[in-house]
Amino acid sequence: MSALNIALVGNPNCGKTALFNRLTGSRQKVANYAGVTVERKEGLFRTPGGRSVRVLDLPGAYSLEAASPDEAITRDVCRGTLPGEAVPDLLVCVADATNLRLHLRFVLELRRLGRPMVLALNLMDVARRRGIRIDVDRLQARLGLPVVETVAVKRDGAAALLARLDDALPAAAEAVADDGDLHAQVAALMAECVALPASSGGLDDRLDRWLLHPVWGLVILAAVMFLMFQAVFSWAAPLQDALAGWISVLGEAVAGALPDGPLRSLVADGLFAGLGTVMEFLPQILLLFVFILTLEESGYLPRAAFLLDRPMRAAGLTGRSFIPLLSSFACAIPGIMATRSIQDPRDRLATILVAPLMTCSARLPVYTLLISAFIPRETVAGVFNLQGLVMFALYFAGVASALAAAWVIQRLRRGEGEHVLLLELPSYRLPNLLDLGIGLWERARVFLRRVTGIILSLTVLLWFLSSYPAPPEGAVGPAIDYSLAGRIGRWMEPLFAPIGFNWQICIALIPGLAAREVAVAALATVYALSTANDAEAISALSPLIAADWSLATALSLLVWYVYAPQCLSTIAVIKRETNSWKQAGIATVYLFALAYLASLVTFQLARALGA
Amino acid sequence: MTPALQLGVVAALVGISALSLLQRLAPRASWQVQARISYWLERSGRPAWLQRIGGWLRPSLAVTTSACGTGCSACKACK
Repeated sequence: MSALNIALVGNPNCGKTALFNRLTGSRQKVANYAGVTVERKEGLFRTPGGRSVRVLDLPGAYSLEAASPDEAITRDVCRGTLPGEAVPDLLVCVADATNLRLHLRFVLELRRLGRPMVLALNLMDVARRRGIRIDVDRLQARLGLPVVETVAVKRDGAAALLARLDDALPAAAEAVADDGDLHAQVAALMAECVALPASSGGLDDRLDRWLLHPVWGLVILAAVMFLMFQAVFSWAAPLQDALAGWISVLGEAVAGALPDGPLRSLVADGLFAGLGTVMEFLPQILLLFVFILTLEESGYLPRAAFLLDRPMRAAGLTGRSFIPLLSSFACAIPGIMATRSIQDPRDRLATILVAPLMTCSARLPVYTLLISAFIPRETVAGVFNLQGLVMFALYFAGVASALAAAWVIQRLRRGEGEHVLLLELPSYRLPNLLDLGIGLWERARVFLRRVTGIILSLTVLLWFLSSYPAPPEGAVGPAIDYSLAGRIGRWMEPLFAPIGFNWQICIALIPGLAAREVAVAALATVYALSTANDAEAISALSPLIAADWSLATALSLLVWYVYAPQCLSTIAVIKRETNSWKQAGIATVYLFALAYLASLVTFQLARALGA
Repeated sequence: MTPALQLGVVAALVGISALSLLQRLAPRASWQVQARISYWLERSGRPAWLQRIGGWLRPSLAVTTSACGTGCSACKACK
């Protein structure tokens, strides 16, 4: 018997993905719809009755009148007109039971398609707690389709849906013409089937009074961000030290088992010194994502977008740019892709051009390395971690620079953008540990894939370029001085000397263009090849650079990484999204110019102050 | 392990890394190079074993035209 094809469809923030995770666990396959950058999530599961089900998690949509590529995919799959995608046997429409007035509209629109359909009333536990009473039988009769209750975040919360899937497919609803006022139909359904308490969102309202306050809301947002960066440094340190210790012990054991020669040098100076140094930053990256995912799951992020609408408008952007810019904290590429939801072309272009200024997670290893090496582990005012303060300042510098750059770009273009922000603020909810765990596992996999993929390849190549040609007979000094990489570094040095970069840093800048974290691996490899001791090479990049660089150089490099477009993939995506080499060129040139100027000012000022 | 064997292993690792990078950073150029080599190996008159290697090396007809393959892999869009 072939698997039943079902599609989960519904408004954004209705708990669709939580239900998908509940049904499929880790049996998911994430890919892309052909020709567009919309994520396609498919999973497999078996019902208690043994029925095999293939489930598709469709992008959230408010209407079948698509206003974005995501909504167009949902519309086409539901209508069965998306090429290459099987027509679902059953649509499972997920609706937030606490917000039926909004969600029922889409249910009615989907019903008009005349396809077999089940309505899953999600978040029923929250609805009950709030005193919302839904007459499920009457709703089922009025809609003419099966209605089940789900609580996606609870272990057996999908039991009713699973039991329904074991039954025969429901008959298709009768397709009706696009006439009739949907809002009026929703109002009638609400009046007949749903009893609302006098105030159904008491907790939400109380929290919003503070969290959306024009002044206190911004103060709380700044405090949350501040706490996040403090925690990234303070809480991850023990894990990071433990990981570094294990990598060092393993590296020394493996290198010690090999005879002296090029392979031993590759393993010790390239793989363990280079890759091992990057691996140490996994705890910090995961901790950062614990915070980001928690904020996302709790429903706080759309509120942050709402709060930042006014400051962003002052910079010539709108709150609509917030989500793309926030996504850029993970990686500028999905952030730039997310700008497709911005309808005004000028606003969209400005957001694309400033997105690389947001501090992506790939910069975290570089920041952490330099901060650990040059900023003492001290406490300020008895509470704050100094290293965390510097990290916060770097992230803040990225955000402030992005707003300033957007302001300049909008002034140069002299256009009025769209200044209306419509956002649905979902109810606050406690983050679900399963969803948090799956999100973190995804991030860890992405990081490990990069480490074992592009970072590994670049590290091996950099080791080769830093080791060959071998030094001539009777040569004194480290072999890297005679290598191809050494020569390239010294050739670049005069250009970067005014901003305080030595030839080793110049070498690290080149592979860092493919992936920013590689700069750390490259520095580790270059410095490892300059030391005679394998153990020292594997475990000690921080002390090596602390001894070799001035504080002015370290600050200059930190500032360089705030601005520099050190990522070829980002440039490629800017070209693709704008369909213009000119815009990609403008982004590259202005970001490099900004990086060089800011580093120059930082270095010269720091040196003048004796750093 | 003899120095010659070490050198051979290192050369293989460096070669594989270079090829993998070329495929990630320049997928079209990489596809063209791979196709030319495979066609050259498969020409009539070549020994059967060379033609077999050429057949094995022949790239698929699909090549990415998006930013996928640029080596980012952060957005999971390239799977």
